[in-house]
Amino acid sequence: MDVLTCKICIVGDFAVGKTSTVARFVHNVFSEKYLTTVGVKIDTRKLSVDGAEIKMIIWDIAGTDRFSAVEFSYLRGASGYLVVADGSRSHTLDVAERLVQEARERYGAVPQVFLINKFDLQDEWEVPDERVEQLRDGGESVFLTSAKSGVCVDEAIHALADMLVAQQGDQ
Amino acid sequence: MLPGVVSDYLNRLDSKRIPPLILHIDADCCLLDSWGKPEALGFPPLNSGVDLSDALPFLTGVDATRSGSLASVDPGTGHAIDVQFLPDAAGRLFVVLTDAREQHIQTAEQQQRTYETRLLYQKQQKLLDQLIATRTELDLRRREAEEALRVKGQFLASVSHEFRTPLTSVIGYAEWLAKAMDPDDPARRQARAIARAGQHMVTLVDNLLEQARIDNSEATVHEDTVDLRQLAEDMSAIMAPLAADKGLAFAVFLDPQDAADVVLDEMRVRQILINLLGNAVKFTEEGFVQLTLAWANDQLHVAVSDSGPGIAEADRARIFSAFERLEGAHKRAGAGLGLHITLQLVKLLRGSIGLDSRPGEGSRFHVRLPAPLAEIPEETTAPAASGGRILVAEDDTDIVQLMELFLGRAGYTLDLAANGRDAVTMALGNPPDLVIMDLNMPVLDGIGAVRELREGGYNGPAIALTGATLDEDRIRAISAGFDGFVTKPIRMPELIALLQDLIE
Ligand SMILES: Nc1nc2c(ncn2[C@@H]2O[C@H](COP(=O)(O)OP(=O)(O)O)[C@@H](O)[C@H]2O)c(=O)[nH]1
Ligand SMILES: [Mg+2]
Repeated sequence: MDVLTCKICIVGDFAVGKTSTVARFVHNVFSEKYLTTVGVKIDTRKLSVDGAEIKMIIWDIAGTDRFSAVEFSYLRGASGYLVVADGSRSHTLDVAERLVQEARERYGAVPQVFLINKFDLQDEWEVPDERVEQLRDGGESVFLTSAKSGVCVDEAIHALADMLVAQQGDQ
Repeated sequence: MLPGVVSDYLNRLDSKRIPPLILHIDADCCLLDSWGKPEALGFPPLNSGVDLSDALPFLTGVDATRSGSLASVDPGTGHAIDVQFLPDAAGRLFVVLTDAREQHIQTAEQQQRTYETRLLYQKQQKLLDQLIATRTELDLRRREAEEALRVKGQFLASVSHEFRTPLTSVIGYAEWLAKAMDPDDPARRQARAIARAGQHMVTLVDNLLEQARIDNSEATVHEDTVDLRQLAEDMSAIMAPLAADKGLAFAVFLDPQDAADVVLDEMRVRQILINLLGNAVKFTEEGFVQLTLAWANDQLHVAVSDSGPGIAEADRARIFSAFERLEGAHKRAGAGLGLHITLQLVKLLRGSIGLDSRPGEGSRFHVRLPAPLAEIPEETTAPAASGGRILVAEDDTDIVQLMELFLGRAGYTLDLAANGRDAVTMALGNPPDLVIMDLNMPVLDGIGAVRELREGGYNGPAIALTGATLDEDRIRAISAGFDGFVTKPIRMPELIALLQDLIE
């Protein structure tokens, strides 16, 4: 059986929890300590979706609020995006939307899911429900996740995997 | 061996300590050839003919026909490298990997500092925003509370106004009855008791009004001439029956030598005394309550003593601090408002208050108030029937009749009007010697009427009559054209004295 191998880029502003989301997904661990990501770090995990094997090569890209040439070079050839924002800093959702917009203009549309992370920080939560609804009404898959507790991290990434597998079937 | 593009690229590279690793791969990521040591850059040994996409995950998705580069890549080895893709003419790819650890570490340190600072700043900004929001909210609440207090003040003022008009009738008629009766008639004492009770009610109403004023910080002092003997008698008249009801002995002491006429805010002093005496009677179950008034060095000394349960040292401090606090948690049960107002009033009159007490030995509150000697006006003899024609504009017929009784006896003739409109017509048609007008009248109120009178050329004296005791009402009345101001309940002797002054 053929394994579908996909390059996935995880994008978003700095400190929204991109690295933590990958760590939760790939190694099932979490650390409170903030360690900034430089350049890009690549991790791999295999999943099976409806009997199909998919190998996700996840590019954890250094956080930024605007892509430069360096980041664009990382995005080239990606099959899907995990778009991460920090629910306790609502402006990071604006940044996330702008980043996917920039990526789409450069490389065309690919499947993507939004992760509004740090959902465990209920007291500091800033993103109103209406905003989430608005995104969903616009056709986006949106997950309220917590890399810390693990809530919805797998669900979000599986949703992207489903899209990739479905897209593969279409071709 | 290496094509020109590759050797050109290599020549442009800085001389690095770790020599680059060069891989030649086909479109399926199969290794064709390699130069350099994979282990030096963190990779396992790479053999020709092997698929590299597992060992070099960044090859997935690469377009073998394009040149390009990736900076600072950690391919999962923990060893950062820079990657350069150089396609050859045959659709295969040269991949040049160079060590980037040192630069990676440097960038990481710098970026860590920058981002941590920015995170801190964002957090600070968020707290600041919350603080501003909280303050805005608090400001709003404070304004609402102030508004509520103002409305309460207005309500209390209008309630007190409503009370004053009927109380004028109660007190006035009771006094009139008492005066008209035979001195030996026992009913005369009862009529006096009605008048006193009426006065007491006025005091209670004033307590409420005072609290509203204090809350709105608009309390001001009104200095009167106070006859201390009269004050002592009044206190006795008001409190003795209450003490008697509880079987307490009640006495008021005033050394005849101290029975001076002094300058004091009479209403406030009465409130202070009634509040302190009222509390003493309330908390004393047996024994006595007594009031001592003394006057020395331009000061009124008040002592209110009782044989009640007394107040422990520890509680005394609390009682005094409870005085201070509007919503003090340790108010003596039921004493709250009275004691609180008392302290406020003493402060307002620039006096001092103290308490001596021991549990089981009763309490003694002492108050000191500045009270300079009053200049006593020449005693006016009973009003000569000098007469004069007075226009009285008042819609309350009870009060009109009361005025007819008192002013008629004092030798005045009265023209009567039931509203401001009639009063203006009458006064301009046939100007009287003086006008007395209620401020609150139907058709045209007192303020409007006096304005029209002044505009119409009437320049005789005019007195305003009102239940309101607010200073702003007084100012409004005077600036509209009134010369004087009498507050209900009307004290007839005062009114007559004022008439005499103004008609001269
Ligand atoms: N409370 C909470 N903290 C998180 C969560 N995800 C990440 N963090 C913290 O947020 C900081 C930034 O996370 P990181 O994954 O490095 O963010 P990145 O810059 O987007 O890769 C770290 O201190 C994490 O511990 C989460 O779901 N909940
Ligand atoms: Mg990161």
